[in-house]
Amino acid sequence: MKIEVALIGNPNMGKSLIFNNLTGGRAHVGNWPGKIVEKKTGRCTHKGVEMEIVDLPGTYSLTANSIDELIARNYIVEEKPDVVIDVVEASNLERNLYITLQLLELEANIVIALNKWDVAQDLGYEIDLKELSNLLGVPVVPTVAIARKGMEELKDAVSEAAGAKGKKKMPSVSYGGKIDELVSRMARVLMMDEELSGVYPVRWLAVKILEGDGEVLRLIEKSPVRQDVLRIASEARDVLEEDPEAVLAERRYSIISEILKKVMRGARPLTLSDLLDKALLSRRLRIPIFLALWWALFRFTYDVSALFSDLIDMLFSWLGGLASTQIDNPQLASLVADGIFGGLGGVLVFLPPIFFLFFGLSILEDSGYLARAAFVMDRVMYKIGLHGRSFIPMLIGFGCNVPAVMATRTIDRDEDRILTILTNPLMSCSARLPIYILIGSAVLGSYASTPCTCLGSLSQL
Amino acid sequence: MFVMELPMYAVPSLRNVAIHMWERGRLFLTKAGTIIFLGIISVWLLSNYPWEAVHQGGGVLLENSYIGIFGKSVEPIFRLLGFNWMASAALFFGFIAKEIVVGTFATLFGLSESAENLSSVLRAEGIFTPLTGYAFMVFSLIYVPCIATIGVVYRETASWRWAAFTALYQLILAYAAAFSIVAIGEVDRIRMRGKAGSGWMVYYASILGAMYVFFGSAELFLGLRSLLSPSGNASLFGAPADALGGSPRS
Repeated sequence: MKIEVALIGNPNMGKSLIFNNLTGGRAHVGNWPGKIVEKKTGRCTHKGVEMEIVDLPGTYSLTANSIDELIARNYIVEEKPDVVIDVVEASNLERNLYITLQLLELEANIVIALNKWDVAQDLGYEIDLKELSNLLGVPVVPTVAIARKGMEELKDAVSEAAGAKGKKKMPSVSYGGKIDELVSRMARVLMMDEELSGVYPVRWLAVKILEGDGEVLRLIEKSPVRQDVLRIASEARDVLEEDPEAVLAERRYSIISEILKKVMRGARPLTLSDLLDKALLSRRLRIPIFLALWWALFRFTYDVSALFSDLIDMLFSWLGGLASTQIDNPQLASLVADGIFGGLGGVLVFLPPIFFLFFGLSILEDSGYLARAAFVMDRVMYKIGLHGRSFIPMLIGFGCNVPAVMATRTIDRDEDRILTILTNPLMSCSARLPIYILIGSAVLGSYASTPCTCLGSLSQL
Repeated sequence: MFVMELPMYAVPSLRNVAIHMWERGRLFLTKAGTIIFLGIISVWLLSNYPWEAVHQGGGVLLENSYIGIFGKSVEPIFRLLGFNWMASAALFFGFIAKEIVVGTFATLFGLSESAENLSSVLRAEGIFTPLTGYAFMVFSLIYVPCIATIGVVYRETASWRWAAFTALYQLILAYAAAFSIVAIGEVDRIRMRGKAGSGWMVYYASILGAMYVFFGSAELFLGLRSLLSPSGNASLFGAPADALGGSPRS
C-alpha cells in the first residue's frame, strides 16, 4: 500500500524536525509549480506501508492572503492527500488549533502530532488526550520531535487513519444558529453545481464565500448557482452587521476555548500576557483604554518636553539677540536674527515634543500594545468602510504621510487601496504636532493636552 | 482574513526605544535643515520686502510687505473662520511643509527681539480666541497635505486626478469642520449672553467638530465607494458584486 501524507502546521513548531524524523532526512527539494516557494518531499516505509510525505509551507491559517497559505490549502483541497499530519504545539493549543478547525472544514483526514509534549508538561499543562481526540474526532499523538519521541506512534496513527479514510464521519465546525443556517443553505445551493461539489467540500466553500475569500469567489465565477450564492452572502452581511470574516474568526476562537476548557485540566497556566489581554481587549474596556492611553501619550509628550523646548527657545533667542547687535547691516541682521534664528528656532523648539512623542509611541509599540490597538481599531475601520489592513498605513501616517501612502501597497484591492491613500493625509503627521502645541498653549493654556488628544483621535477617524 | 499575530506583552527595551526616537528626530532635523530652512528664508524675504515700505520710521509695518499684501488678499476667504491675515499666510506656507506654519509665525513676530516665547506672543497679540485657535488647529489638521504627500499620492495612484482630488477635498473638509466649530462656539457665546470664557464651549465645539468630521468622512467614503465601484452601487455593505469583488473591473 502506498499513501500520500502532508505535513502542515504553524511555523517554528517543529514541523521540519518531524519531517526529517519521518523521512530520515532524505528529502527531494523542488519548487511548487509556478511558485518560488520551496517544496520538500520524502519517503518512508512503515510496516509495509509506503508513505510519500510532503512538507507544506508553515502557516497560521488557511486563507487566500499569502502564497504560502494558498499553496498549503490548494494542495489539501485539490490533491486530497490520504492523511494530513497537523503539527500542533502542545503548550500553545489556543493558537495552533485554529488551523486544525480549518482543516476539519476542508474535510482533511487529520492526525494531530501534539509536539513539544515535554515542554507542555514541564510548564504544568495537563492535557486530556482522549478527550481532545474525541472532541475533534481525530487521532492525537504526543510527540517530542527534537528527541525523536513518538515517531513510531505517529506512523502507526497515520497508517491507521489512511485505512479508515472516508469511513468515519468527521465532525463539522459549528458557528452557532444564525451562521450555521446560512452556511447550510448556501451549501445546499452549491451542492447543485456538481462540477464544484465533486471537487470541493461545499460547507467549506460556503464558509469561504461568506468570508469573501477572493480565490473561492473566482472559483464560483462561472458556476450556474453564482447568483443565488452571492445573494445569500449579501444577506449574511446584513444579518451579521459586521464583517463576516471577523465574526467567523471570533467564533473559531471561542470554539477553541470551549474545547480547551474541557481538555485542559488542573490549573491552566495563564500567562501575564493573557491576563493583560483580558483587561485591555475586553469588549467594554478596549476603546476607553485606547483613548486613555492616547491621552496619556499626548500629556506625556507635552509636559515632559516643555522644559527642553524652553531651553532651545532661550538658546535661539540669545543667538538672535547676539546677531542683531553684532551685525551692522540691518538687512543682514534681520535675516540672521529674525529669519534664520527666529524662524528656525521657532521650528526646532518642537524637536523635543517629536522626540518624546516617538519615545512614547515606541514604548507602546515595543510593549506589544500598538499591535493590539490595530486589533481594537480593526472593527472601527470596517464600520467606516476601510479595510482592517488600512490601519498600519494609518499608524505610519501618524509619523509622516509619505511612507504611509507607500505602505498601502500591501492592500490588495484597488478600491481599498485608493480609499486608504486618500484618507491617509488626514492622519495627523508629526509635522502638525507643533501647530497644536503652539496654538494650544497660546489660547488654551494648561488644558492643551485635551484638545491635542481630541485632534489625535480625530485623526484616527 | 486580517489575522494578526498578537505578540506577547514585553517590557520595552530602552535601547530600541532610543533608536526609534533618534531615527524620527533625525528625520525632523534633516527636514529642518533643508526644506523648512528654505521655506523660512522665503517667508523672511517676503515679510521684509519691499524693505523701504516695511521698515519705516524705526518700526515695522508688516502689512506693507509682500506677505502682508498677499495675506490681506486671501484674508477674506478665512474671515468667516476668524483667522487674520497672518494666520492665513501661515496656512498658505504650510503647504510647503506643515512645520512652516509655526515657522511663519515665528518669523512674522521677529522673535529675537523679545525674550518671550512664541505662544505668549500669540496670546498677547490676541491673534486667536480659544475658539478660533481650536478651529485653526482643526483646519491645519485637515487641510491640503504637504507637497511631498501630494507627490507620493500621485506616484502611488499614477493619476493627477486623485492627487488633485486629495488636496481639494481636504481643503473643503477642513473649511467645513473649522467653520462648524466657530459657528457652534459663536452660537454658544450668544446663548451665554456674551459671557465668554466658559471653557466648556470649546469642548462642546471639539466634540461636535469631531462628530462632524466623522460623519463627514463616512459620507465621503460612501460617495467615494460609489465613484470607485463600476456598478455605481453606493451601498457599502450590501452590494454583492462590489463588496465581494466579483464584478469585472477594467
